[in-house]
Amino acid sequence: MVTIEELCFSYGSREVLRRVGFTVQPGAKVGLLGPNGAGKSSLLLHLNGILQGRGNIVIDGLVLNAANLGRIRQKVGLVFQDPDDQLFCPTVFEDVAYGPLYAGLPAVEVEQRVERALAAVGMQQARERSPHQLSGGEKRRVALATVLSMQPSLLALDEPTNGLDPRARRSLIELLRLLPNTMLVATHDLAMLEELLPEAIVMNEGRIVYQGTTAALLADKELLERHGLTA
Amino acid sequence: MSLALALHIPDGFLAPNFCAAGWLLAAPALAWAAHAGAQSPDLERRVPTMGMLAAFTFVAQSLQFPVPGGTSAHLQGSALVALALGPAASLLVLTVVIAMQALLFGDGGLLAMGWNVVNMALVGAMGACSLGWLGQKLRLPAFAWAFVAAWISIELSTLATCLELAAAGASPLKISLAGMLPAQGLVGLGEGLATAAALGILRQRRQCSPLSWREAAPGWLVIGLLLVLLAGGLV
Amino acid sequence: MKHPGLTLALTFTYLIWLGCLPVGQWERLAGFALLLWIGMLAAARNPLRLAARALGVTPFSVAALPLIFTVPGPAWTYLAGHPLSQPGCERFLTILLRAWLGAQAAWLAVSLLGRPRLLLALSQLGLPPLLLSIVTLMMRYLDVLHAELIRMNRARLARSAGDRPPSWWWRAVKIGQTAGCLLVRSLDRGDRVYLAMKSRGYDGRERRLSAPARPSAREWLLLMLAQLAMAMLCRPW
Repeated sequence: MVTIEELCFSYGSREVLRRVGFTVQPGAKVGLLGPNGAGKSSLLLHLNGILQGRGNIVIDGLVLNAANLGRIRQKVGLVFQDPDDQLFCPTVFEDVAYGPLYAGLPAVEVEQRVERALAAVGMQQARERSPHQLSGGEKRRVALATVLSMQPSLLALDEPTNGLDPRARRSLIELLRLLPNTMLVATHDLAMLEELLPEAIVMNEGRIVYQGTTAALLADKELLERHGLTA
Repeated sequence: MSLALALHIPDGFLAPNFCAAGWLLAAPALAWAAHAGAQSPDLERRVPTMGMLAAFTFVAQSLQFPVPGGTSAHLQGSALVALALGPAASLLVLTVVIAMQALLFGDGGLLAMGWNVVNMALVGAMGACSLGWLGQKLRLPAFAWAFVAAWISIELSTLATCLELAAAGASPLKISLAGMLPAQGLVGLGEGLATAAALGILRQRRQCSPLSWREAAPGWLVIGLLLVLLAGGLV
Repeated sequence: MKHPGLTLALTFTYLIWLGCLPVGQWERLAGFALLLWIGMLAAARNPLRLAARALGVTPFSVAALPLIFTVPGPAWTYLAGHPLSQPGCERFLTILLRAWLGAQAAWLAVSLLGRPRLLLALSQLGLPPLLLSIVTLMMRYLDVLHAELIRMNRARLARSAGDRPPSWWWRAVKIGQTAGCLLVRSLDRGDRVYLAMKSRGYDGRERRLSAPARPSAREWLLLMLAQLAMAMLCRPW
């Protein structure tokens, strides 16, 4: 599903990603961990070509390059950390319709996609509401719907449970568990990792320092300590 | 208090045909700004920025600063947006803000909006860009040129308002100048200090490119025109 | 009146006709008020509430106050020895009432449409796409930025000692710094929103789903009848 080889990227003179490489199998749910500034968000922004470093990225059989950019953006559903950044339209409907509309789909199809995406996250009743009338948990759900409507093969989520109260967090995790999509989830939430994501990748200072099962990672207290994943 | 608010001309103040003249002046300027925006290679990049700065201007105008002498005024923000975005983009942003204020809050009339756009966006924002450019050329410290640009741009807007009121026969030029220029001069001191402080923070946190002659030139044209009209009106 | 574009068109024309009304024509002004209030009742809005709310905008018309001294004409009465000219007072009162009615009309439209449909109405009236994009984003982020400003002000208050009011210029600088922080955050947010838009296929062009139902003949008729009534009231010729 995702293959990354030798990916390097720097902001000016600061190296953010150093020879990052990994593979994600179709249907896998993978956690992406690491302290703040480890390069997690930059890595996610590479998956749909918003940032372009050196190295190879292949998504669902398509090499990421200028010619494939549009198709890859439809395949990768990137959900940003702050739902107020993700939801930039006046109503929930327009936000969820945005991706399909810009993919050039006919109106009928757009309408169907919105219906299905909102049903998938249980927010059909919020169609005509404006994002500022939604609670934190509802905003996260709608943010997820904005990419589900593009029917992506990969969901790339940046800190989906950040700032949610326990109940909203719980119901979001249940929702993510039911979705069939391949997932790459950047998070600090070890409890969610254990429940939802059987595989894990740990980054520190732009490098991948662990790749394997979540169970083995959580058992290795020394590794967790060394990369600042537990306090 | 009343004088500090006089920059938003309400409806009913000016005759409808005089309001039409304001629109005739504002429309080509807006067309130029939209054209300049559409021509720029990073248009798609600038649209979200312009939208966000329109919201910023709206919100920042709720900030009150004290005016020496006991009253207070709200931040106007024209000069700040102009110095942060350049003349073409700030013209569009400020026009949207002025229009929404008129529509949602009745602050400034809809018919008189053409003139309000001329005063605040065309004269105020473009004047600020030109003065900022001059300050940069003279190698003044950043705080100094931002302060002067914002202060004088408030006075230029006031001057433009007075000229319009005189031309419309609503208020004789000498009386309104004598009443409004000193009062707005005091308000402008606060606006200037606030604008300079805000730009200082902006320059610390984000990259800012210096103003170019292309950005300054339209403002000089506007300032020149205003001074000619002033001379004509006083003689 | 259900159609967003026509609702807004009716509001704009009301404001224009109101603006064309000559000074001092009190009966005609009352006619305009009556038209507006009938409209409110027909739309199930409480005229008293909207009228009271609109009183809040009248301070902006205070800018017209100098007119009562400056317009030449016979003195109506004297205030502390200064003559108040009669035409000046008439003009001031007309401006005040027009601003009051105008604000009510604008608010009626906003309350009938709501923010999302207000944007639809603007696009139906042919607002250029670039301006429409700016307005749309502005409406969406007004509350977000306002909440941000409130949080920043609270944080600043929590840290300030506040034993003695500082001088006016220092307070202006402080206000400027608050504005600067908000400006930086707004620009940062603009960058992030741009990335979010781009991730979902944004390419700088405005795309919309095809416009909803066209206005019905009844709505057109209503708009035309309203124009006729206002033209009769106004009679600028």
